[in-house]
Amino acid sequence: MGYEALPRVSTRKEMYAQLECAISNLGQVPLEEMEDEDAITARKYLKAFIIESNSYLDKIQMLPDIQFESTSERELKLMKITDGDAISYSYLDMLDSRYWVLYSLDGSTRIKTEIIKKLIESNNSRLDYAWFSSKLLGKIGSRYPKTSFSMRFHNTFNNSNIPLKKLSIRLWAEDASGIITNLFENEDIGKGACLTNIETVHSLTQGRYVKSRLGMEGAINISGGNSINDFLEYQTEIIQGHYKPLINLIEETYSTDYSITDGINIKGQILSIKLKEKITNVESFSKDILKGTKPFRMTGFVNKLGDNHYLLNVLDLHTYGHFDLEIFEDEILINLPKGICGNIVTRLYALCQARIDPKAELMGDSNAII
Amino acid sequence: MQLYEPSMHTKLVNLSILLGVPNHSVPPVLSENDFYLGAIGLRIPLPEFGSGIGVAPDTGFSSQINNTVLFIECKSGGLNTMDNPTQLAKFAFVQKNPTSVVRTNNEFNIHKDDLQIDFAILCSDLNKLIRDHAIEKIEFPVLQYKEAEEEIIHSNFNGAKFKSDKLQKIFSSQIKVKRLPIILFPFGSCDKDRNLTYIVKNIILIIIEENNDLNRFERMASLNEIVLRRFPVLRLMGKEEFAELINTTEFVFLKVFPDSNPKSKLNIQKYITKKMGKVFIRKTTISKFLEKLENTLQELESKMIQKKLSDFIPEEGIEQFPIDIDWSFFDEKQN
Repeated sequence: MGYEALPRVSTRKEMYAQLECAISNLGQVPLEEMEDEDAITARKYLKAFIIESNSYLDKIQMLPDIQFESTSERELKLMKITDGDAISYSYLDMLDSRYWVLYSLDGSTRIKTEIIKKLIESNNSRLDYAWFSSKLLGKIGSRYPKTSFSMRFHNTFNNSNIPLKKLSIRLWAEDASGIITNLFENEDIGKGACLTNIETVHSLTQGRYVKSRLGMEGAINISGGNSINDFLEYQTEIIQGHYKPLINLIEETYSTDYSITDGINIKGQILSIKLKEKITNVESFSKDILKGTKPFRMTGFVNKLGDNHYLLNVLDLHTYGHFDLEIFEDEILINLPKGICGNIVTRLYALCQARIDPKAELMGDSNAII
Repeated sequence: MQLYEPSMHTKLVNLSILLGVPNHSVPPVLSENDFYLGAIGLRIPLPEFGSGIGVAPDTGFSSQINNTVLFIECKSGGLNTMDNPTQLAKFAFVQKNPTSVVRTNNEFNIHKDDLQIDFAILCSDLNKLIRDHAIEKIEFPVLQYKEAEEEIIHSNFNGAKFKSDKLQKIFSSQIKVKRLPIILFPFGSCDKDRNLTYIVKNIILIIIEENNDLNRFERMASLNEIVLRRFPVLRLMGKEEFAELINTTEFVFLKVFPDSNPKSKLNIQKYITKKMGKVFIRKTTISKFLEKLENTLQELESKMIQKKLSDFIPEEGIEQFPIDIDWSFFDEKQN
């Protein structure tokens, strides 16, 4: 028997208490060992979604079936979701005004596809997922015992330099670290080995732990445990320790600022996504990523400079930020003007790994920045 | 999709910039040797030659350790030997009078004592410079970018050397240029005459971006401000040239958008919505709008036999808007 629904709360302390109940009531039998399909479907997992926000809550475009209710704390809101006669609550924690966390016990399809996706993916929503590239997932996961992981690669642009059209692997193990390394190094599978989620166990004190799975789009599924403290510690490390510093680095060091004195001064540097495998059709790739569709969410203009050489004037549909990309068959250069949201870089990079070349690297002046 | 061929001058400016900033395409031989990019198009006033006269070399680099400045002038063609005084004469004056650089509001972090100033010419057509050399002696080192060979070499046709031993050493061996990205400066003053589609479509992107951030009572910045924000390098061109560019851009807007031209093929009503007197591009059709806009612009451009910007302007029945330009950005054209 699981924990059925998150109740209304009015303080952060109450929220944490309820979240701990939700974690502890998940049941002790791991999902992979469950055989009863009904029980698997009925089990309600606590989920935490990281949402990158460039807006105040009252400015975002609302959906008809959700409402935000206040609590006694300004940075904590209740998200009331109405589905016919049924009402459920999720908690929106905005303690960090840029990186919100939405906690929910609602079914994955309902909360992810019907609520979050609609909130985030409409044009100019000023909201985005937090994008965890395969490399960043690997880096975060390297500090913890890993119990399961997924690799997924879709050769979306039919790059003939990568022999795989699709790769999808989900694997459970007592400690999966060695298997991940082997897959990355495998001559055949390695070319499509892109981590898309990673499940780790976090434990600060003996007997207290949390088992959770972090996905490429910043969704954390909690699959077992008994400690909200462990979860919060892990979540803080993910957001404050990894993601936020990365975005800050991009926006502060790798964005360009053209200032005028007696001449023009350029501050900042361009970023580069280095591809190990060349793109075989740079033109169709350039056109496709600017179609204005998900998941790239970019539109704009393609300018042909030469053979396999394109300059893209891009409008990021998440904030309508305007920047340029220069595309070669083995490199994508990014000129991100100061003030444009750096989340576009993590999105582009994560998607490059998942759809073009899992071995792509995000480079700064001379070194990989992740 | 547009074919966009940046001018050789723009390529050379990008090449010289990349010599002084970390990147993965061009060996940053200058920044690796403590010469960092200081300014592009630094305007150095030269009152000694008369009021309003100065010089603005394309790129400037400085080494605090060596208290040395290197200016690079990019030449895709030859020198203008008709000016009086010539650009070379002005460079020579600056080299002998370093205070002219120190008195600019520059970011070179240099001091006037023992300041060494070097000039170099980065060219793509060496033969033109050799011909010019016969008219006016070029006393500065000449670097040649050989695009086909993907390299820069120090040409010795005039026997000129750098004053700085360090610079002489840096450029003594060939520099391989694996590829030449232009993303830092994709558009320069030499590109404006034949790339109206490129200009206008980028302005539209800026308008969409900025309109999005305006609150209810704010209005869009003037066109000249928007253009300068997108193409900062255009601040380096002369007043009249810039006014011509703005007028031409407005002319294209009049041609393309049906509010002013009922014959326009761009059915903008399909893509816009109006709220409280303001026009917004519909969120759901933004990609289609941009595609249609680019096609319309290209069609318009292809029908016009354009030799220079002003060819667009005089057309009967089209009234030019009086434009509000903040001229404080501009000094007199100085070189």
